[in-house]
Amino acid sequence: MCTVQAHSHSLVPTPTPILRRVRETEDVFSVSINVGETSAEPGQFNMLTVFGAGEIPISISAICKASGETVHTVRNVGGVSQVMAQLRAGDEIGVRGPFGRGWPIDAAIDKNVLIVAGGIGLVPLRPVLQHCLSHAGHFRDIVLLYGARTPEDVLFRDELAVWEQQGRLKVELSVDQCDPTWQGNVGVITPFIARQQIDFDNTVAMVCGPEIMMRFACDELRRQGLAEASLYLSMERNMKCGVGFCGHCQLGPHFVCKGGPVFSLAELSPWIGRAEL
Amino acid sequence: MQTIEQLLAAHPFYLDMKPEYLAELAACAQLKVFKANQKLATVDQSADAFYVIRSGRVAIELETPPRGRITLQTLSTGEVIGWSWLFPPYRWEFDVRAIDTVHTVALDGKCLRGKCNQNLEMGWDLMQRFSRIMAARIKATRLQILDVYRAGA
Repeated sequence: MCTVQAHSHSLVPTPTPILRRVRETEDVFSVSINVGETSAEPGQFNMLTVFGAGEIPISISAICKASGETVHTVRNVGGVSQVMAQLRAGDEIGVRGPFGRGWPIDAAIDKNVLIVAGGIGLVPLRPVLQHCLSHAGHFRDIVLLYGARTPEDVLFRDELAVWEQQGRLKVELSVDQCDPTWQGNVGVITPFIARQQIDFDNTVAMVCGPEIMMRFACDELRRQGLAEASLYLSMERNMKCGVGFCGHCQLGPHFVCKGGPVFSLAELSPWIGRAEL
Repeated sequence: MQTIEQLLAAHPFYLDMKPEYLAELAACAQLKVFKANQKLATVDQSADAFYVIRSGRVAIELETPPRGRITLQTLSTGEVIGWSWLFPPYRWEFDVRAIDTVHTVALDGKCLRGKCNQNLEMGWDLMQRFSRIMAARIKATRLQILDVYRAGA
């Protein structure tokens, strides 16, 4: 069995068999692995290696502490992810990590949790939802605002529907493009922030999506009175080593792989939206 | 039962509007309910009103042959729909369809234009409110056309 130490702070990938592979959408799939005892926290990522193809940082989309199983959800957009998409249960991938600083779930205790996700950005926020919903008494309202490109690109649709039907989660889903059969919302997700009837003074917001979408979301959240220290973003940069050695993921004074990927807006505001960073 | 004036005062679009302006606007308003799939507006038809959405959702649509009907945006409770009543030739530029049952306050455009011409301060107040809505919708549309969720975007 792999140990926590074998995965943490290691630069050497541990060969790990894929337990399951699930197709989520046309170009998104999930792989489940079991790394034994895991220290993974919502918002952290692993470096996953496809032997012979390369290594990529992938967010953890589900964590089962009891079994040690973690799920990684991957968008098939690059050379490594394209090869990874061909792997099946039993095939081995290399695993390093978990790395980085995750979502500050404790900071949201006794507060509203407002999650704003765009596209594949829902992936690192899914463990937050799973945690908050399984400890619902610790939090006030739990709201997910989720924007996707089309109805077909909506991730974890069944899971979200179940949570919403159980009355544990309010979901506002909106797509940018659709055909006439779609009866849901159309338009960008950020205007939905202003429509929420929640006390923003007692809210922690967690945002992940394309950077430009996060900037618009931050603008709107600030306009609603949310403090920068209560607003958290998950940043994406060119993570390579995962432990803050190589500097590829530097953003201003921060190494995203080590100091992030989750930052408060108070930490990031001098750097977000700056050209060439 | 609430008066139209009270309904308007409770709507975000009219937040902090002077009571005397609300009274003037209420004189041009009536309650309207639209059933699912019923049209609130039809492209090229006379734009003689705008709607304050009290509950329900509407879709702003465009018929785009040969692709068919496309939904550009949906709007819901707390929003307003329609500014074509403000500018000549006072014709709707898009279709607006109720997605589910929609409760609105419909404000008569011709009546409003008359009152705004008589009371320029009130007209300026109303114009600022519409300008904020227009600016927000332009911003949202710009983000929407960026197609930020596209692979490799």
